[in-house]
Amino acid sequence: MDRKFNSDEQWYISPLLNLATVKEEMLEVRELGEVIIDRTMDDFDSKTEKEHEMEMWKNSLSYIQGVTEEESLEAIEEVSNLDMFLEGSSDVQTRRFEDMKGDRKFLERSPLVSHKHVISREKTMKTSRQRKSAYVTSLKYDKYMLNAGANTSLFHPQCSILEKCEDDIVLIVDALMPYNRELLSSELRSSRLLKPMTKFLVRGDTLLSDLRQKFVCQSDTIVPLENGLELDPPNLDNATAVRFPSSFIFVHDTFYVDMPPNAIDISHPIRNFMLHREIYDPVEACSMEGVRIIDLKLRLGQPYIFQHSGNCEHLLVFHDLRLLHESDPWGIDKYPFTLYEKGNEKKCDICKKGHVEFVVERHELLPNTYTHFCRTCFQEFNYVHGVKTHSFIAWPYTELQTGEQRGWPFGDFEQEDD
Amino acid sequence: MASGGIPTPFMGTGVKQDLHLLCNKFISMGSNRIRDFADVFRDMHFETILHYRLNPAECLEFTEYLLQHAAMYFGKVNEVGAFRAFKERLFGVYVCYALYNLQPVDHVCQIPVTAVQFEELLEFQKSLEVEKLLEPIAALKMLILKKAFRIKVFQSTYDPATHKKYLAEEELPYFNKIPVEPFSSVTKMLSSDIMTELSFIHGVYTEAKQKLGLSDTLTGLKSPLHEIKGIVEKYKEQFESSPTNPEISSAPEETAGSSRSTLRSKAYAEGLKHTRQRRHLDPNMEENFKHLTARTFGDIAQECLDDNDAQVPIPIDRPVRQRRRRKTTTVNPEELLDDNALAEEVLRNEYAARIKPEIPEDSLGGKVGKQGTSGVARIRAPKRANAKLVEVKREQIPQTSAPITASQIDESFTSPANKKNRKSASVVEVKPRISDEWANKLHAWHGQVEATDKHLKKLTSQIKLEVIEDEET
Repeated sequence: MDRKFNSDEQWYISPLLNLATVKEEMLEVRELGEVIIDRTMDDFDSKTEKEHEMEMWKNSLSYIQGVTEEESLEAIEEVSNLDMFLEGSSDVQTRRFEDMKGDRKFLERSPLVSHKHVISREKTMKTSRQRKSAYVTSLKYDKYMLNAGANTSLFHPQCSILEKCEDDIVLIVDALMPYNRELLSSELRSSRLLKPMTKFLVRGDTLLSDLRQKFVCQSDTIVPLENGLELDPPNLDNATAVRFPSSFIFVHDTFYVDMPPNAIDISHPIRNFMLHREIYDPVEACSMEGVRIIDLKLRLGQPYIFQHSGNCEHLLVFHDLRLLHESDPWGIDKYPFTLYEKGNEKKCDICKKGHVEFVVERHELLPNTYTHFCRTCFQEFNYVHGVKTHSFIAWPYTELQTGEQRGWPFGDFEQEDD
Repeated sequence: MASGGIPTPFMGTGVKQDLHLLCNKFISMGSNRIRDFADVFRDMHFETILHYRLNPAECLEFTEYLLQHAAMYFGKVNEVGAFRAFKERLFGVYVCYALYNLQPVDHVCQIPVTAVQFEELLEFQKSLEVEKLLEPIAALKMLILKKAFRIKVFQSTYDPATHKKYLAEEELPYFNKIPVEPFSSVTKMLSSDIMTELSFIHGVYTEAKQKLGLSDTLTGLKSPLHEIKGIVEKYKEQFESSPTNPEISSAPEETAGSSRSTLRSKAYAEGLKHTRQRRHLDPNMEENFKHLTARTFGDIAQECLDDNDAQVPIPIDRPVRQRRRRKTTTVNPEELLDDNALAEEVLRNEYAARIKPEIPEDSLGGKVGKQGTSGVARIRAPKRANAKLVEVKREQIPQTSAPITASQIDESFTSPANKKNRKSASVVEVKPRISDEWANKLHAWHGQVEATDKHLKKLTSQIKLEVIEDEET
């Protein structure tokens, strides 16, 4: 696939990386930095963290040859005074984001070039809401859940000088929107492509099978309903996730096949196809069980494939490879850590209020092919005293964020595994 | 994340320039102390660079971008491969220390550094120890102690979804650029594999021709590669022997930045020169809407008199020729004086030439629009066409004074000759002056005449039918 993509020539694709080797190199560099400081401490309980920090700082400077204690204290006193960087009196230790909105009058006469561009950017965004929305959505961290639920602690200064995280690497995995059908011409615009469906923060020790289990797609929840009995609870045994349990993740030159019960190797026809064509390099296949992220050889930025539920294909993009930091979530059980999850909540097309529970296809009274209904409108519009009155095909619609809570096949699937 | 097809400004525009400006100011000072750096930092109000952010997401991304570019000063070499000065690297340590500690406490971003940058930073720390500069060492140790560094593999995130199209490109003034050697690209092209292959193919082709006995036709044939090399050597000799070497040598340096972004910045930097549009020559558009302006009767009469004078063919040609001669005489000195003025003159002449054909229409339109006014009636008097109408009216005046008898009316209507019809037409024009009684009678007789004409037509048609029937029999 590297030859097919011409990966070495693309600006957005990195060289081929052996993650285990990369991890060792970065750990060596970090250890070099720890050598020049002294993190040992005495009397842990009797001192505050600030006092420990100051003590460690002094000890680190005292190790320098030819430096006296007085000189080190003088240097620390000079450097630790952060008020010298500020024009007015302000407590650096307690300033928050809301306190740093800035003075609008100063902005116009600021000597910084960045502020001139802030003014022009604000003028651009004032022209229309669409421009402002486009700017906000173009930000990198706009898709991250910074102020929601359990992820609120992300990017907060939760790390301490006394803590030491595990020796591991961290990557971000983007699962893009699926291309499970032929795209329309309007969908082929560059702005419509490469939309992430989920973003995960994974560690090197994370199992690939755990990553696969975290993928939640609406294609897994498609359940056919019996004609005339659409109001009855759907039979979950007919869900696509149960009927088509086979899936694989293709990374670089290997198909990592998921083999749950009743699954087959769906990568075999693809490998056979690639085998008979010289444009493709040789590929391998192995089971996904027991494979960790650190065992992969991959290129950052190159799209790889995750296929499931028949023909639902998601591009996987690995990026932002770095060393694990103390501010990252602790504990391997929290990984894959969900950074972003695209919701698919929709309102009823009829009443514009209720949540969608049914998708109606080719209704003889409706002009459009697919119409979204809530349960109330679906029942009142299509049934008289519980009897179906018109010809249509109905499918249940599942909101992904609440899928697990409703007992969809993921829970049953896990139970079957157990 | 890519926006929905709308060009969006980049949130980090201007960061490089601000850092570069701060670095230059610090380097211009003769001190290495952090307090002196703080003075420069405070004078530039650099702490405010973190202000004016819309939301925490922008704050985090901007801070990360700012710290990443500040950390680039740790390296031994800069972006173009030149070695950094000692004080530049010292600046990198100070600015990272200051910016990291000035972040808001609820949204802290670590300094993203690559493994290579971090390694070079540690080596720089050793050189600081040799020179016994304790303040930057203390700042550096504090950053490491606080776990302020986040070690990455690459500077780029390699996220294709976040590729952005920026409205403006950043260009650093007086930034070091690698000078381009003359003819370097041509030399590289000549030594490429394609040229080598081309030379080999030509050799094989020549040998095959010789074996087939066609060497006579190839006596003057040379390899294309040799020809190209000869041309390049020729231009090199000319380049070396030219007396204006310093001037030409500056050209490659200018072409070093001839990327798309550089060309765009140059285009935006230079003041655009707008040529004056045709409509700007006459801001009030008076010439195109002359008929809308208020004019007195005297002006209208004067225009009519001018038009009468203009009808003479000889005077029309003479003033036109004189005007053209006058314009041609004035163009020559203006060319030497100012090109913009010459361009404006040409535009003015072209515009004036286009306006001329419309003048008669305007004048005619003006007359037509004011046909009912008394002034126009007065102006019509001198024209010959109007004179006929006036004469007709004069002839009719004495007839109205005499009483008309019934016999005279009957006589006029009994004769259907053409000449008499004309007379009747002239009499019809007198209708408004006849009394009501006679007007009614005249109307009745007119109806009788029409009825008689219709009866005559029927009779003539019957005669034709009878003639046709006789011929058939």
